Amino acid sequence: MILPDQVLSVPEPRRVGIGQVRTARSPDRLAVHGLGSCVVVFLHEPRTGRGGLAHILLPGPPPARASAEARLKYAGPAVRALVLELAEEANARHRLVAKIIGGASMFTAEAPARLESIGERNVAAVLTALEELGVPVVARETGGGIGRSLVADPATGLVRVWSLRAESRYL
Amino acid sequence: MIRSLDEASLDALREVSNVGAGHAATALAQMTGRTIQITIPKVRCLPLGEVTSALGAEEEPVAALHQRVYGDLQANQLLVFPLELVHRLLQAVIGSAPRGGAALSDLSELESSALREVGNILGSAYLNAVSRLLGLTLIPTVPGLALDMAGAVADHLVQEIGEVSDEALVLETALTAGESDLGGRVYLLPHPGDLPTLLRSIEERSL
Repeated sequence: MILPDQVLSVPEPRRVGIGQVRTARSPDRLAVHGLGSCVVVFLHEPRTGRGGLAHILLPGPPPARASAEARLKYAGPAVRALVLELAEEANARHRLVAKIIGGASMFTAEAPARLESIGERNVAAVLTALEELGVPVVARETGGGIGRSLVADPATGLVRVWSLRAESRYL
Repeated sequence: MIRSLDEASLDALREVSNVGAGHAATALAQMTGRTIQITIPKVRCLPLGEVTSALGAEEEPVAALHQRVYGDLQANQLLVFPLELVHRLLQAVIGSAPRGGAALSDLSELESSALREVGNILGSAYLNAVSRLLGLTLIPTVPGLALDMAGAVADHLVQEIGEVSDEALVLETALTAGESDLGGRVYLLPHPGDLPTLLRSIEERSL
């Protein structure tokens, strides 16, 4: 006998860890829990219901000796890998849209103070990489001093974002 | 590289962690008037992507205090208190606590500076003990404070290490009062580039 729960069940969202780039197709979803000064880029291809997510640690640029895998923790290589994965042909890239989440500054009164936090530099590096590749940013929830969690759904292109201080909202 | 540490080195690092956390526990006991115990230290070598989950459940609400350590050995130190226990800690240390108990509402100036001071004292107690044990000069910065998800707080430490390495050495010890209604966890993440210094000191002191 099939219980109603099983009929309605959708797969658990797949976690994307720091330095990872993952793509998914409807009904699979992608998730990051407890995002601080790292930045997540979600790319969506509305026509095909495909999407992908990069969980970026550092603004870069990566050191020359870094392996292909290690480079994915940096903004430029991670964004490029994600874009190529979803749209190999340059003329398919205009169909992609990007949403950016994270890049917070979690600690107050840290010394030595830097002019720009690593979270802000991460966001700036991601924006630069997306612009170079011609992918528009259609939504962002970045900066501030709060941690965030998110689930991204390639079927709809929506990203549910929540924190300890705020209820879920959709980007 | 880090993952090639032998069993003897791991044992010695557990001892380093034990001595440091023991002194932090004594300081916490003196501040709160409670008996504080420490757990057996955990020493782990982890790929960067796994450091976050090693520092707690990703969405666990915590009060975290971060100090960078300079001197003969560079490191990052993190003190983590479950948010639900923070009001008890403040009650014990300054005799007042945030209204509404463990609410995440921002702490008053007095409460957050009290928490920073607790971080400073526990962190220094830990580092002074390690400094004496290993004969290394260790200079901590003023602690930064965050009240948020453990995973979000951990990003910051992973970034500090990720600049220079793809893996991290994590020394962890838990501090608990008998009824576990007061306590936290203390982490030391030595800078991967300074690992040879750390191991050499351990060897010289025959730990």
